[in-house]
Amino acid sequence: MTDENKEDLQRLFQAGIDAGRSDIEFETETSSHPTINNVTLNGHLGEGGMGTVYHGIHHTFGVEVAIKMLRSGSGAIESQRLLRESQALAQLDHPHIMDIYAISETEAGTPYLILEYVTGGDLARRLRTGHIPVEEALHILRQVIEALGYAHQQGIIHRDLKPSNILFDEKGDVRVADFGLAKFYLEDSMTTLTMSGTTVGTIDYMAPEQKQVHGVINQQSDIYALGVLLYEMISRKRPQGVFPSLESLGFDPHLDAVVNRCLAHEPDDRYPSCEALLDDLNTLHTASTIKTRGRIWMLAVGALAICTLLAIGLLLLNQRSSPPDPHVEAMAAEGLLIGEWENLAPALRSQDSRANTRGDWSWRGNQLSITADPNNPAAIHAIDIDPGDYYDFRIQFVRTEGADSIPLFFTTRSGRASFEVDAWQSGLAGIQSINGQDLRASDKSFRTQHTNGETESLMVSVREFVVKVFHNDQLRASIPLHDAQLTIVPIWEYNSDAPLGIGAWDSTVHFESIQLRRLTPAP
Amino acid sequence: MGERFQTTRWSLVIDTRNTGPESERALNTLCQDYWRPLHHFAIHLGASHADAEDYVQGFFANAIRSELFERADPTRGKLRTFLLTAFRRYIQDQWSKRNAQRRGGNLRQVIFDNLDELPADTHEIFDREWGATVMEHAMDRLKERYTQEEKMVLYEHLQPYLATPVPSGKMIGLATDCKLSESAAKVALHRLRKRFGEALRAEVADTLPDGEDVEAELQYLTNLLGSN
Repeated sequence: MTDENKEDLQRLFQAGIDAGRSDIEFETETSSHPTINNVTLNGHLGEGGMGTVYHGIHHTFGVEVAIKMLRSGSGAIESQRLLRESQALAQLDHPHIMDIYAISETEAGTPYLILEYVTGGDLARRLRTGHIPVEEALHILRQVIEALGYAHQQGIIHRDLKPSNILFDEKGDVRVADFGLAKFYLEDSMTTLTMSGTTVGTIDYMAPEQKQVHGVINQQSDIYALGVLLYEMISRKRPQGVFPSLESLGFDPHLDAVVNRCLAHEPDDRYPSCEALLDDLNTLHTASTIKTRGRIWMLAVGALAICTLLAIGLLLLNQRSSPPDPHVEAMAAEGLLIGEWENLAPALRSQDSRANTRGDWSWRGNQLSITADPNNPAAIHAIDIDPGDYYDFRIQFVRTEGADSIPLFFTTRSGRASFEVDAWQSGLAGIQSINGQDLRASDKSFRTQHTNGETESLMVSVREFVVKVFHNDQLRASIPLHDAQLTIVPIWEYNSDAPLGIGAWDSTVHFESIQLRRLTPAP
Repeated sequence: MGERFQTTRWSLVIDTRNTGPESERALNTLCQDYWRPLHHFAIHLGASHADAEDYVQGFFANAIRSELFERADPTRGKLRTFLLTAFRRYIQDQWSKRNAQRRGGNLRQVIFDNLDELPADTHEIFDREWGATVMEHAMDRLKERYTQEEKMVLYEHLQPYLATPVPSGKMIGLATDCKLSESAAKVALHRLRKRFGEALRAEVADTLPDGEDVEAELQYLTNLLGSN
C-alpha cells in the first residue's frame, strides 16, 4: 500500500466516521425561538396539530430546512407520532416524499425533526385559491401515487393523506409529507400507535375501514384517499354523502370510473395497488380522453335523471299537472332544489332604464322591445337582479327586422358571458367568448336557423361546474367551467355590473318573456 | 440490498460448516474477500508472491480439512483476529514441516520460527490491508444500493466527493451534471455520505462479535492508516 493510497483510505475512513455523527443539536431553547447549532432559525412557518414548524438555514448543507418541533409538554402519543414520522421518512427515499435530515431533541427534551424545506406551498392552498385544470390535477396525482406506491413497497401506509400534506417544491413537483400516522404494516409491533377505541386520519379522506375501530387498514385505505383527492381537485368538492359523479358534472366517464373504483366501499373493490391505479390513469392520459364531452354528459345526465326520478318523481308529479320537464329532472339529479320561474318584466320596468340600457328600448305591457338603429347597433338591456349561484335564464322573442345577433348575458364563477344566436352574420350560435376565442374559432359553436317573425327561445343553465345553452328548448352545448374563462367580447361591453342582460345587434326584436329560475343546493 | 450482503462476514464462516454448494460458495467468498490481507501478510513475512498465494490457498483448503471453521466462535472475537491467528498458525505449521525436511534455512525462516514474537508492524501490515478490504466492501455495498435504486449517474458524479469537499464554485456544475438543483445536489451529497457511513459501519460490524464497539474498530483502522 503506497502512502498516497493510505492517505486516501484514511480520509475515507474519517469521512465514514464523521458521517455517522449527529451534526445538529440544540444549544438552547426558548419558548418561541429556539436556537439550533448549525441551523439559523429565520422564522415561524406555521402551527400544526402537534407543534410548531420553523424555517431555518442549515449551515452544514447550505440549504433551507424546516424544523418541526413538538410543543413543550407534549404527551407520549405526540412524541411517538414524531418518532414514527422520522422512522418512516428515514426509510423512504423518493423524489416525491419529503426528506428528513435529522431527529433530535432539545436540552429540555422536546423532540424535533429537521426536514426538507419546499417553497411551493401545499395543495390545500392551491384548492383554496383557484381551480386546478384536469391535466394538472392528474399530473399532481400521479406524483402522489408514485410516492405512495413506493412507500407501500417499503411496507408503509400513510393513513393521513390530505391536501395539506401534499407540498410542492419551487418547480411544482410534489412532496408527500406528514407520515406521523404511518402504519408499518410489515411490522406488527409498530401497529399500535393509536389509542384504543380511536381512529386516526382526517375524516373526509378516511376510507370506511379507517372509521371502524377494528377496521383492517392496508394500502387500499390510501387508495381511497387518493380517490377523494382526485375528485376534490377536479370538482373542488369532497365526495361526501351522496355526491354527483364526475361524469354528471361534465367530466370524462373513464375518469369518473377511476374515481369510483378508488372510492369503493369495500377495499377489495378498489385498485389492488398504486401501480394498478397509475396504469389506469396513464391509459386515460395516453388515450387523450381526459376532457369533457357534451354528448356523453347529456346521456349521463339523462341516466341520472331517470334514476333520481324514481326517488323524487312522485313529488314532482304531484306538484304539476303537465308532463315532467326533462331539464327539471336533470337538475334534481344534480342535487339542487328547483325554484319557480319568475317573470322579470315587472322588476325591469321599475328599474331606471337609462342606467341599464343602451339603444331605443320600449315597453308594451310586459313585452320589452328594441328598435334597430344602424347608428347605435349594439343594443343592451342590463338586468340588475341577482340570480344566485345556480339558475336558469330564459327568453322568448320575435325578431321582426334585421339579421344579426340576439345575445343573452349571464354570469358564472368563470366570468360574465353572452350566449348568442345568429352571430357574425353567419348563423353561428353559442357562448361568444371562451378562453379568449370567439364563436368563429370555438369548437363549442353551433348553427341555428332563423326566420324573422317566428317566436324563438334561448336559455342558459348556470351550474357550479358547467353552463348549458338551449335554443328552442333543445340543449345545444355544454361548457365545463373548470378550464374555461368566459368573457364578454368588446362590442357587448357595457358600463354596468348587472349580472344578467339581453340585447340585439341592429335588429328590431320583441321580447315576449324574460324569466329566471333560481336553484339552491339540497340540504 | 443485493444477495452478496444478505450474509455477514461472520455468517459466511458459519456457512462453511454446511455441506454442499452453500458451503463451497461461502468458502469461495471468504477466500476472495480476505485473500489480499492474508497474501500481504505472508509477503511481509518474506514469502515470494507465488509462495504467498500457495499459503493463502492452502490455508483455506486446510481450514476445511481441519474443520477450522467448525471451531470458530463468532461471539469470542473479531473476524480479523480469528483469520490472522489461524493463518499465522497455518504458516508456522508449514514452516515447521519444511524445516524438518530441509535443515538449515535462512533468516526469514528464523522469523517464521518465532511467529508469536513478530514485531507489531507485521500485524499492522495485515490490519491495514484488512482495512482496505473492509473499505472496498463498504464501497461495494454503497454502490449496490444506488444501483438498485437506479441512481448510478448520481452516484458516479457525487462519489468523488465522499471524503473531500466540493471545490468552491463547482457545486452548480455538479448539480447540473446530476440534473438537480444546487440545494438538491447538496442534500444528495449529504445523503450519499450518510449512507457511506452506514455502509462502512455495517461492514465493520459484520466482522465483529455482537456487542463489540464498531466505533473503536473504525477508529483503530483509521489511526492505523495514519501511522507510518
